[in-house]
Amino acid sequence: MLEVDRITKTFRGHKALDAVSFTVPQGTIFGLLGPNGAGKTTLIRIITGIFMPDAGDIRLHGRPIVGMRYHKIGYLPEERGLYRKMRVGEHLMYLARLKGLSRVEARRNLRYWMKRLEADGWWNRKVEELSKGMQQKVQFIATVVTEPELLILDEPFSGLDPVNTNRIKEEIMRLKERGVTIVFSTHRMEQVEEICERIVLIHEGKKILEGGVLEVKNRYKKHLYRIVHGEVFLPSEVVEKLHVVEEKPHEVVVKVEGDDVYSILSTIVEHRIPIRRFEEILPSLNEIFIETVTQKAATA
Amino acid sequence: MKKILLIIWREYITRVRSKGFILSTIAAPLVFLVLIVFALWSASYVGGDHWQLLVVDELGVVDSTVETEKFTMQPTAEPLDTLKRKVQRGIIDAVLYLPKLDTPRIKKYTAYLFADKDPDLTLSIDLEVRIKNWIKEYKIQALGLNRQIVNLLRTEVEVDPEPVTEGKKDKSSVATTIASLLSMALGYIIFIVIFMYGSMIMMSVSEEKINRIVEILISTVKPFQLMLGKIVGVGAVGLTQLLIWIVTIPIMLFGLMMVLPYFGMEFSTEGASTFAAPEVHQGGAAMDNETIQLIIQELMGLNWWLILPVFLFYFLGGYFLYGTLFAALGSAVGQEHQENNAFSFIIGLPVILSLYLAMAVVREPHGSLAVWSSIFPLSAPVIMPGRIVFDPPLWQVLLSMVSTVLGIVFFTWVSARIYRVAILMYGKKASIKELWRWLRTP
Repeated sequence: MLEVDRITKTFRGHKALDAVSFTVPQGTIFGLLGPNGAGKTTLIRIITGIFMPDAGDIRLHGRPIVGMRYHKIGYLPEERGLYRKMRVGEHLMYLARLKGLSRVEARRNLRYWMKRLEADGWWNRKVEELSKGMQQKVQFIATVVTEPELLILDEPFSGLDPVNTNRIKEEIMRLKERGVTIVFSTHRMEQVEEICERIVLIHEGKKILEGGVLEVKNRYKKHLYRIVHGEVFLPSEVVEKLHVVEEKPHEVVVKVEGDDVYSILSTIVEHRIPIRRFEEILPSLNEIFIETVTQKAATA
Repeated sequence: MKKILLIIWREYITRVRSKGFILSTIAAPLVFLVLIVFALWSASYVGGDHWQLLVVDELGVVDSTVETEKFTMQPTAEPLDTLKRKVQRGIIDAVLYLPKLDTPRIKKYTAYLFADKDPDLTLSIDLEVRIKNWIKEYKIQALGLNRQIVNLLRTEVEVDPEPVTEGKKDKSSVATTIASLLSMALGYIIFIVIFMYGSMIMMSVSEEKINRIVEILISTVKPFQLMLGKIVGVGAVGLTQLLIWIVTIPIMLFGLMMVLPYFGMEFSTEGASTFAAPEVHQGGAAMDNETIQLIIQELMGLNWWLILPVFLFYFLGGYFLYGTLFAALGSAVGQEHQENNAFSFIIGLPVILSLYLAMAVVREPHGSLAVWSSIFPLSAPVIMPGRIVFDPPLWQVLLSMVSTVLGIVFFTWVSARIYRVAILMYGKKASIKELWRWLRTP
């Protein structure tokens, strides 16, 4: 479990982080979200020990790790690169050993991961000979080779093709199953919806939203439901009764105060409307993100 | 500590294995070798036409045919006009006419070379020197001088410093020259080392920043460890290179000395002046055995037990002092190479100035300029190794060393503070104001 406890950091009068707190339960994938300049990178750098916070504490499994560069953290930064002239195997060995692995451990883990990610033939190839996607894989291997307890991934899929994106996604899921706590930072909200269980949204150094993905979506829902039906258009008395807010051929969107789903359904049954689909419309994280951020900007 | 060792190892091994290192390590002595061969060859080069000369000698000083690589000169009794026609018809190349003198009491003499093609510099100089000697002979005879007495007029002079206090070492007259040359050489080596490996550190640091690996590294090791590892790693590369050169260059030079005679070249100090006639450098640049012995004796007499450790101290001290500054610079600059060059020039400026100072120091090794510039930490690494040859007072050496160590501590502190902030500032340009801010960041 990762606890971020009232972390504050000021750069020359500018508050980059203002008493930000949240908790990431062990074995979950946690989305760290926020617009550019919100303070995500600063927070990540504090967790990894690159920066010292002005105040607050970071604990991993109850142990304070502030400023420690704790070796059981795997960090894949957004701005990442490799030594172009080095050979892949040698490069990975270097990074693994810097993280404290012995030569034997490092070699064993690297063999395992390179095989898993179909990179076994790359050991003696120079980094500069690899494609960008291949380099991303090498960087991912460097991040997970130490068997970290906490994995911080900043835009891990940038530069990857769909096939490799899926491969890495599978591995992230597998690590999560094995109890690794994962902090995932990205601007791609559809990826967050797909893999994150919980999120925190930071804006201008402050936490403005935290919770489970479904919970947050429910919190921001507009009580809208979509009905896909067999008619081209519904009879007007039905439209009136249902509080239709949007109408298209074969489809209406209705607003239901108090989430009284049964009243809708009974109206439909009553008028014997052939329904194909009935679903609640939840806002996408993208919409919530834009809404909360612009709201904050307006109130600020 | 293990981490620093890993960083040093990576820095060292990737550099030493790189094509750049292998090429420059092999190429530098080869270039050096080629330069020497070229210098010798061009100095001893005699080319162009071989001139056929006839000399009309009214002075009566040329009694036999003179034969050199450049020309053949024969005295003749034929009238000048006939000879000129011979030149026109191409039978001979030129006629040298030495007109008669009415009196030996002259300050200037003009001889005439009748030819349609222009004489080159080698020929003109050779003829001038020969004619000068002939005129001298002529004057000695015409004035009825005693040749032995005339020869006595030539004196070689040296100033031999002698100690006054007993127990002080007596030095020969070449001591100062040798010390000066050695002094300049030591300062120059350190200058080269600082610049060459300093910019290597700078490039290495900015490479990590530009290719963005630094964020991964810095989440594992402290910036200071990374910086130190780099500086030591590049330093080890430098030492390796120097060691290779110390071994290979003398071997190459020795080989050269063995091989050169087969190509008709001499490996000696005469090389530089061989283009003139043999008479020119009688007692000139050619070193006699006695001088060489004197030089060897003086070199052996120097206090190497002091010079070598002091040199090594400033070699490493200068490298570290400027190395940290170059590392800080590498962390602060971006990808604009022109800007980087300008910045590295600013840091290198004290080193360049020190080199100029070193020349003044050689002239007056115990002047106040020499004393203070050998104590000031930014110039001490270049100046003190040069001064040590001249036996400066011990307190000055110690003070200079202490000041250098303090300088290293101070600049390492400054550089580390700039480095740790700057290394993570992507896309931000380093103005002086910005650097000052980074310095004060807690």
